[in-house]
Amino acid sequence: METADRYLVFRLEEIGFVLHLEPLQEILEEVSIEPHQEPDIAEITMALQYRGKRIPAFDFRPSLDMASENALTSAIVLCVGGELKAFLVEAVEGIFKGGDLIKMELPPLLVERTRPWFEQLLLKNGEPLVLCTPERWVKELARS
Amino acid sequence: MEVGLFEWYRQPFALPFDGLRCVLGTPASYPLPLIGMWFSGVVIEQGRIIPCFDLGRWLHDGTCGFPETWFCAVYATEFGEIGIPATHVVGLMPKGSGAKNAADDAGKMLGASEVFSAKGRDFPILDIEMMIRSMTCA
Repeated sequence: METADRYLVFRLEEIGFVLHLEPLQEILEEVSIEPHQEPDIAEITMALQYRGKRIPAFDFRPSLDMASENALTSAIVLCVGGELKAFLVEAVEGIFKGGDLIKMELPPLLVERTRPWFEQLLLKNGEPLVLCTPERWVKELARS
Repeated sequence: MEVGLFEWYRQPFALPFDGLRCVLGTPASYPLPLIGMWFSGVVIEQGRIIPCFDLGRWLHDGTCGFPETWFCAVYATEFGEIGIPATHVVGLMPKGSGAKNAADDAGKMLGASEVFSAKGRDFPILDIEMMIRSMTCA
């Protein structure tokens, strides 16, 4: 599939998120999360097995100030900064053309709270989806 | 028009008409992460993202989020548009249809310095910009 101008939509605690398809390697369901033995970032405490390799797994909910009582069992594997990383998600909704999405800037009143995690939403069928930028999110997690 | 009169459950309140852009009936609302405790989500109105104020939290009335049926008063401020939720629209009052009086202690607790007295009741006139400044400091 041509990845240019394609976006993946996933959900965390029912909130919709969207990321560009380019770094996507694979969508995994029913993943087994393991403790990360030697994390290079202290906040990364989880890992999962992916094609014979152990890769770090990220649950962004605490950093996004979201409830995180339910265990996440799906993951999207991304190539971020040349390395494989798994983002844990509640569900993957699908892959959509950029033309189906309308980019919107958050108003200043909200941006001052959501920056540096996100500043834009993409509107899909009237629903605002949070734009996830993987490299930035991994860096921000390391900084937080 | 001078003010719009509303209720949030049993709490009456007024908004100056000059800042009132429109009132939406039960618009779809969406939670977003990281927007802070004073906002319960956003609504999308004609391609604009409107942050919705969590009035229940401000009033300490035990309510939070959006009821099944509600109204969103879209109000323009120097910080941009903000949605003020209401459970009832009491009316839009022409100039001279009521009296402005100094707010009592209960009104001051809401952040109102004045009330609009009409229909036998006092409606504290919310100072939305002051409320936003307070949130920013909180």
